[in-house]
Amino acid sequence: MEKSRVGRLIWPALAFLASFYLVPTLRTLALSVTEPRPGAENFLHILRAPVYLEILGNTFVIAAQVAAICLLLAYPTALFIVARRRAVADILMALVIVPFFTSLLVRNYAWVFLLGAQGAVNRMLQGLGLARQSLMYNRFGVIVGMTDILLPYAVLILVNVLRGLDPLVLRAAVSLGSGPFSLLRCVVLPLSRSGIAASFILVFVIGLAFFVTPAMLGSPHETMIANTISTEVGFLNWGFATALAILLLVATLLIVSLMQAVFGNLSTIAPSLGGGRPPRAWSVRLLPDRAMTALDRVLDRVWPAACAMTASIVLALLILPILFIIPLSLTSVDYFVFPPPGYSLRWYASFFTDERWMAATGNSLVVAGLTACLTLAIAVPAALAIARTRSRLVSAAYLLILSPLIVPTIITAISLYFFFIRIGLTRSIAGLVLGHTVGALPIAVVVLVTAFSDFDWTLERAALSLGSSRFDAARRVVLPLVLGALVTAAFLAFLSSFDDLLVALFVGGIRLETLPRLMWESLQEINPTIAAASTVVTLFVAGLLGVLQLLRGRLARRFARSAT
Amino acid sequence: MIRKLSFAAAGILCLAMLAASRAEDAKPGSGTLAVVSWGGSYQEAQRKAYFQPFEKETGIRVVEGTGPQIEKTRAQVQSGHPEFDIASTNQAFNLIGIEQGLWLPIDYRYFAPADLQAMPEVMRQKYAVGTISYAEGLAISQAAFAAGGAQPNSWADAWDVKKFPGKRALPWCDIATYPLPEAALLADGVPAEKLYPLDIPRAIAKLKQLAPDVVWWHDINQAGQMLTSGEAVMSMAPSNRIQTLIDAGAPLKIVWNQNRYTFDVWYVLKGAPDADNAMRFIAFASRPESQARMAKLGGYGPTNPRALALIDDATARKLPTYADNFKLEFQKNEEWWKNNRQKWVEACTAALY
Repeated sequence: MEKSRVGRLIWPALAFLASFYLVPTLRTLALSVTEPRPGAENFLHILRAPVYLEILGNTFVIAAQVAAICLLLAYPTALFIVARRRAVADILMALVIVPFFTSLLVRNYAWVFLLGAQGAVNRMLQGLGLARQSLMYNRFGVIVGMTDILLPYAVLILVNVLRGLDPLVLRAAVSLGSGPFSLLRCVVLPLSRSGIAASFILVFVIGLAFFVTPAMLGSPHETMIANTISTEVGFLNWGFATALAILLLVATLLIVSLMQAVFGNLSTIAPSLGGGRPPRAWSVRLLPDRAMTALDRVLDRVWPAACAMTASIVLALLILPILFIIPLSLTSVDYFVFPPPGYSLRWYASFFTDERWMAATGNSLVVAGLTACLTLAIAVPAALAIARTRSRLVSAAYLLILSPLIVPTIITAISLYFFFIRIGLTRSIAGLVLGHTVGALPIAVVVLVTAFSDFDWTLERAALSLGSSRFDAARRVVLPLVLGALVTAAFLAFLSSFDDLLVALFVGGIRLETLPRLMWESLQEINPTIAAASTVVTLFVAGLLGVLQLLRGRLARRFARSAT
Repeated sequence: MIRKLSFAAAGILCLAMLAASRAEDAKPGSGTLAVVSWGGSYQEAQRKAYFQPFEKETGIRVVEGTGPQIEKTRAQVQSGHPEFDIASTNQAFNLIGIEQGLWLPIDYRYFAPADLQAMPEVMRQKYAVGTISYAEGLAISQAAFAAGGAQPNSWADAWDVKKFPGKRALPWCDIATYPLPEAALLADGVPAEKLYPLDIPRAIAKLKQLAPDVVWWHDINQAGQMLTSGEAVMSMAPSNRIQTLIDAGAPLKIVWNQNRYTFDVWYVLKGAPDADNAMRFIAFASRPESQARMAKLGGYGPTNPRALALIDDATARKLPTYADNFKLEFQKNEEWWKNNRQKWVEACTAALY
C-alpha cells in the first residue's frame, strides 16, 4: 500500500473539520483578545486571580483520578467478558452498553438518591448498624458519578482490543505453562498496551470537560473549569470565557504530549504496530525472576476470581442507577423523593401522550442515526490514514480530530451556532448532525485507529497477491475482522449524538428539540416524566440490542459463507 | 476501493444533508408572537394566565420556547435574525442586554392608562416591564423544625448552628443571582437599609464561619430538593419554587423575614419579527386580571398593584407582595450587582474553594 495514497484518505476528515470546527472555533477563541477590549487583559486577569489556575489544576487532578480508576476497573472487567462464551459475553456487553442510552442527567440524578444522606446506601449502612457516611457533595460523589459515565467507554475500547489479540499466541503461551496471571503479565498486557493508552487518554480528556456531574454531585471544591467557563458565557463575558478555554486547551495539549513522551509507542498517536511488524517483547516485571515466578503461581489462582469480582462490581455500578430510576418513574407525586410515597403510571402516560416528548425522541433517534453514518464515512478513511501512515500531516490531523474532546463543548456549540446562523443551518436536522459529528469523530477515530493498528495488513496483501481485487479483499478479508470495531465506533457515535445537550441547546430551535434538551428543561422543574422517558428509552435499547444479537449471528454466518 | 467509496459517501452524505433539511423560520406575520421563558411549571402557569387568554382575545398565535439563554439571544440579535420577539427573565439578563444594545424600547401605547398610573415606575422601565415579583430567602423543613416549636426566623437564626442544628443549603458563589452576601451581612447585624453597597470582606468572613455546615447547591431545583430529601434542614431558595413544592404536599415553610424582593421582566428583542404584537402582549400581561390569574396559579406576585384587589385572601398570603410579608423584605439593588458581580464571585470562590 503506497503510503502517499493512504495518506490522502485523511482529506475528508480534514476538510470537514476545517469548515465545521476549526474555523468557527478559532473565530470564537479570538474573542479572548478582542472582547471586551482588544488586548491581553483577559489573560492578565487569569494570572492575577489565582483561583482560576487552582480550578484548572483541580480539574486535571479529578480527571486523572477518574481515568486511573476507570482503567483499573475496566481492564479486569474486559478480560472477564472476553474470556466468556460468546452468548454470555454479549449479555454482559449489553449491560455495559445499555447505561449509555440513559441520559447522563438522569443517571447523575439517580446517584443523588443512592448516595444522599437519606439515600439508599446510607439507609443500608444504618440498617447494618454502621455509621452514616458522607458520600455525596464531595470528591467521592463526583468520582463515582464520573466513573459511572465513563466506564463504558473504557470497557468498550478494551474489549475490542482484547478480542483483537491473536488467540494462537495466547494458546502458545498457555501450552508453555503460563497460568492466568503470568499470561496477563507477559503476553496480554504488552500486546494490549495501545488500547490501555487509548482508553486512559480518552477517559481523561472527556473527563476534563465535565460540568454536569461536578455540579450535581460535588461540593464547590470539585468545581471544574467547564463550570466556570459556562458561568462566564452565561453572563456574556465571552472574552474571559474563551481565554479560560484557551488555557484549558494549551494545558491539555501539554499534558497529552507529556504522556506520549513518557509512554513512547504505547500511545496510539504514533502507532508503530501497523504494517504487521511484531511488537518489541517486554513484560511486566515487578520483582527479580525467581520471586516473580513464585508470585505468579500464587496470583494465578487468585486472578480469575479477582477479575470476576471486579466485573461484578463494575456491572452492578453501571446498572444500579438505571434500576433506581424505575421506582422514581413510578412515583405518584410531582417531585423526586425516595422512597416514593405512592406508585402510579401517570408519568408514562404523560410521556407517551405528550407530543413534545414523542417528537423529541424521534428527532434524537433520527439525528443520532444520521450522525453515526456520517461519522463512519469520515472516520474510516481517516483512521486508515492514521494507522498506516507516519507523515507529519497525518499526525497533526489526528491531533485536530481529537481536539473537540478537549475544547469545552460550550465553546464548540457557540462557534457552530455563530457559523450556522450565517448560512441558515440553525434549527435544522442537517445542522444538528454536522455539529454532533464533530463531537463523535474523535471517539470513533480512536476506536478505529486502535483496530486498524492491531490489524495484520499482511492478510490483505496475501489476498491481493492471490488475485483478489481491492474491493473483494476489503469486503472478505478486512471487513469481517474489523467489523467489531466498526460497529463499536458507529455505536459510540450514535450514543454521543443521542446524549448531546449543548449543541442541541444552541443549534436546535423551538421546533427541533432533542430528548436530552427536553430532559434538561424538565430537570429545571423536577418533572418525573424524565424518569419515565429514560426507562422507556433504556428498555427500547435493551430490546434493540437483543435484536442486533440475533442479526449478528446471521451476519457472521453470511460472511463466513461468502468467504469460502 | 472501500476507501474511494467512503470518500464518495462522505461527500455525498454531506451534500445530501445540506440540501435536504433547511432551516425552519419563525415566519413573521401579523398573526404570530414568539415568547421564550424558563419552562416547566412556571411556563405552564404563564400559558394559562397569559398566552392562551391573549390568543383568545386577539387571535394572535403565541409560539413558545424554553431556555432564554442570553448568549444565544445576543448571537441572534447581532445576526439580525432573532428567533423570538419577547423574553421573560430576571433583571440581570435584561441589564446585560441593555449595555450591549440588544433590546427594543417598550412602546407603552397599548397600556390602559389606569395600569400605567398604578404601576410603580420601577416596573415600567424603558427597556423592560415587570412580569412577576418573587422573593429569595430562607425556607425551612418542617420535618426538622416542627410548627409550634422553635423555628428559625431570620438569617441570624440560620447562622446559629447550636440552636438550629443541621445542614444549610446555600447557592454556590458563581450563582450570583442569590442574596448570599446580603444574608451573611444581615446575619452579622447590618440593618437592611444600610446593606448596599455590600461590604464584601465582611460577608466573606461571615460565610466562612458557616461553611462547615453548608451543602452548596448549583442547580435551582436542588434548593428545594435538598429540603425534601432531608439533605438540608434550611435552604436559600426562591419563594415561588418553594410554594410549588408546598402546594404539592412537601412539609416546607417560607420564612418571609429578611427575604430579598425582586421581580422578573418582559423585554423585546431588537429586530423582532413581530414587535408590534409583542407590545400588545406586554400590555395584556400587565392587566390586573392577567396578573391575578398568574398569582392564583403559584406564588407569583403581581407587579401591577391593581391586581391585588382581584386576588382572594388565601392566595394573597402566599405572595411576596402581601402586606405582612412585604414589610419584612428588602429590595435587591440590581445596579450594584451588575457592576460588582464578578468581583463578588471571585472573592467568594477564592475564599471558599
